[in-house]
Amino acid sequence: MTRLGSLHAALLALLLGVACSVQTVWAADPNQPVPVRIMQVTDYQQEQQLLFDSQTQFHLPDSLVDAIHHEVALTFQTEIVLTEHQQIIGVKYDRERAHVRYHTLLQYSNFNNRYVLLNERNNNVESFSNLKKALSTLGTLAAFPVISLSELHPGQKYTLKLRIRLNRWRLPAPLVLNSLVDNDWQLDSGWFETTLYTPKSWL
Amino acid sequence: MKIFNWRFIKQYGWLGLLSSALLIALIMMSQILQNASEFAEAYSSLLFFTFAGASVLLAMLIHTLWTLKKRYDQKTPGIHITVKITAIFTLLIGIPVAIIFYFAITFIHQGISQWFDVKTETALGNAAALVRMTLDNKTIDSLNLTLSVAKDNRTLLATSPFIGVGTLRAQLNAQEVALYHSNQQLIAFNSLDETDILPIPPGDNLFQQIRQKKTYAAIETLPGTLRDQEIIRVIIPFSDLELAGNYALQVIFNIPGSITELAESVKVASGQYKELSYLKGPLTASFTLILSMVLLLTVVTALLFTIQAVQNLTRPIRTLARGTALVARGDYSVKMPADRHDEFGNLIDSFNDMIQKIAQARNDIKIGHQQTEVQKLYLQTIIQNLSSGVLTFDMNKRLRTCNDAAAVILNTDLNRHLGKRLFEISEREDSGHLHPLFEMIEPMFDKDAKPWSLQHKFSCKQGQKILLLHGSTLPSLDKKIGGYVIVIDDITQLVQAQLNAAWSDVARRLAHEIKNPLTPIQLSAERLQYKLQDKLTNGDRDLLERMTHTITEQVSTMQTLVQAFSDYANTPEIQLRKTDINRLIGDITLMYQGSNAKWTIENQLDPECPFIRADASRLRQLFHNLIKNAIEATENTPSPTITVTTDCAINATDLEIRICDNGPGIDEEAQNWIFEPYATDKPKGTGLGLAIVRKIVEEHNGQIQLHSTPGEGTCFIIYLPIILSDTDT
Repeated sequence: MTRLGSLHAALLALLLGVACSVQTVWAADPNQPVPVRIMQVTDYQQEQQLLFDSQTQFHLPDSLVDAIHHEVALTFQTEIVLTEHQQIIGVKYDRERAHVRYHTLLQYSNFNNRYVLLNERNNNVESFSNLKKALSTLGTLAAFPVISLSELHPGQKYTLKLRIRLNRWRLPAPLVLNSLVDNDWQLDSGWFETTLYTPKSWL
Repeated sequence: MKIFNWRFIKQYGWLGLLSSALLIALIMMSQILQNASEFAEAYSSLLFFTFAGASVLLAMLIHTLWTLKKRYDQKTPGIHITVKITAIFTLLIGIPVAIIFYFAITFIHQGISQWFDVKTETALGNAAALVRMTLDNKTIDSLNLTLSVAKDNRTLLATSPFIGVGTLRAQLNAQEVALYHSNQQLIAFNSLDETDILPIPPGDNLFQQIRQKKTYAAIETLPGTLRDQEIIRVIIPFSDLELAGNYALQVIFNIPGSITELAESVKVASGQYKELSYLKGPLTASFTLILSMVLLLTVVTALLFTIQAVQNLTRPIRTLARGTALVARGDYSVKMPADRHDEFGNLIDSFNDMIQKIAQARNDIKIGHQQTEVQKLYLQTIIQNLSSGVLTFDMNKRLRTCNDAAAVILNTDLNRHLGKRLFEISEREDSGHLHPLFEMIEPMFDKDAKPWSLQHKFSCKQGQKILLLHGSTLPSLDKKIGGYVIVIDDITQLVQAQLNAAWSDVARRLAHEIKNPLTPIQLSAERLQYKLQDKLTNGDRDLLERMTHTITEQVSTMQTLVQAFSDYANTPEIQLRKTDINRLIGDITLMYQGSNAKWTIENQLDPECPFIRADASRLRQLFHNLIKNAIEATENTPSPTITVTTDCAINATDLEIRICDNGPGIDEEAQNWIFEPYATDKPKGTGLGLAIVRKIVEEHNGQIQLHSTPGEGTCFIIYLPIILSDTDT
């Protein structure tokens, strides 16, 4: 997803804001499980690298599962932001130290009866016999390197943010409009934010 | 020409550009929806652009319609035709487009539904299943063949693994055969491609499966190849008494390229069809959206172009309307811009020429009018300053104009009666005295158009006047009678002067012819009496005495008469001096007051009366004449009373003196000639008293009026001008 795409998304969202908002409010059912929820984010150091593990839980709506089974490719965007919080003469100042954004493609092949995940960051491909395993793998980040510890200061406060969402702009063209107005397609974990409390241990 | 181009671009360019861009965007979106995946990334941008462009177009339409509404409310020229043509064009465009839209939507829905029919989906599913079944069978066959051949060559593989894998590969017609220890150590390897020095390694999970004595056979995609090449990997556990431990025998079979391609095409087609069948609904919605946008774009653009074109068409009408409005407000300097070279341009040119000529003509008329006005003012000034009264009447004998002299002569303000007919004027209270005059002149209007003249004795509050009237008709444009004009001259003084001159001449002749013989007659009569009285008898002597007495008495009377004539004819030049009129009147009336007097004479003198410039001796004669006249008039009245009154408050310029009695009054007929010389109803009167009175008044530039009602008395009212110099005051 490019920056231009984000801009378009924002503008289109503005144009269709009223319709979307009405439908969003109507569709907000507290009994329904959250489609995408980041369960945990754990940071640690290894070989002078700041790493983290995370686990995200997916509860895809039936319409999306149906779309997957019709071999509609879904692109999930994972975004990781490391922010450094500073205070200069009493004025708070945030500095973005690392920003990682990549896409993972989830597609089903009726021919093979397999669910395939393609990580566009490293072009790794993995196939699964069922959707649950595929989603579990999609939601698992293990030992994900964020930044070298040498670039961080042990005395500063750092915040790690993680977000996983469905990139609707990379859906097949006919689905784009539908995804803008259909709440089932609003898959977004929101920002999961965690503060890194052990900077000194990184040294 | 450059301005025209710029205006054309300004009016149509941006709209055309935006419409074209939107149309291109919609075409691209349509192509993308029809699986033009190379532009798929731009779909969202195009979608946004389309929405934004459509919004701009709608905003332009709303703005244009709002502007039209405002112009309609303001009744801007040409707006009605703009609205009418726009409405007609909207119907002409809208109805066909709506019909086409309906059928297009119907076709899209039906077409897309027909694309994804059950038969095709089933056929593709069956084809995919067939391919998958074929490949699965081939995999199973490969596994069974491997197990069989491995069993047959067990000893060879155990004793000579290198030869064994080669023999095995040849018998199996495989791509490669490799023997691994269960700890993943390669024991022996043989490949059809002699350049391969290492086999395609199995994964750790496969070794674990082998250790559990399980076989593995599956189709895998060969990594590292230029295009996805699929292989059948077969791994079976292998053990032998000769060989200690567990081993894994891996056989790689190539799948023929033709099978792979066919399988891939079926796989792709099945997948795409599956995806498209799911996208049927969104696809229909998207095509409907695009079609709707095309409809909107077409209608809105056509409307905007139409409105702009009609407004351009009616622009000359607005220009002309603006020009006519300016002309209606009196601005003839307007020149409308004619930047067109069509019939409208010619019309505006003609309008400009017409206005220019009208302005020229108007200017000429204005100059002529000004000259007429000057001439009119000139004539009005002359007429106003004429001593003669001038009255003009229209064809209906309505009073149109009158000058000041007419009002003075006729003793009424005729300006208040402008526009009224003659009889209407004479019916007014202040103009009732005009009735005899109008009654006399009205028939003159009905005569032919020749000028006429007549003399009329006119009575009013100021007294009796002799008026000389000249009448004539006024011309009109159609050479008919346009009205009437009457010129009135007050010739009273002129006639009076002529009369006075005539009477003076008569008086002089009488004085000359009669007065001279009177003295010899009187002397002769006295001499006859003196000579004959002693010679006659008593009777004759008495007769003589009576006769001579009569002669001398009559001669004396005639001398008095002649003296009066002489006095009337030989009026001395008046000597105006500062005179206290109240005192003068007081002195005179005092002479008539006495205990033996049969009459009562009273003074009611205004103490505010100033000194006037008058000839006291002449005024004394005037008062004597009037008082004597009053005494004589009241001889038979039981309580004769004569009242002399002065009043200086009537106005600032005149002094009013009234000499009134309570006698029998003067009948109306006598009032007409009472001031004429030798006009008297008294046996012994000379008939010159009142004539002298009027003469003295006129010598003092005053006026005298007679107010008399039979049985109630008579009043002579004299108005003398208060003419005083500064030194006098």
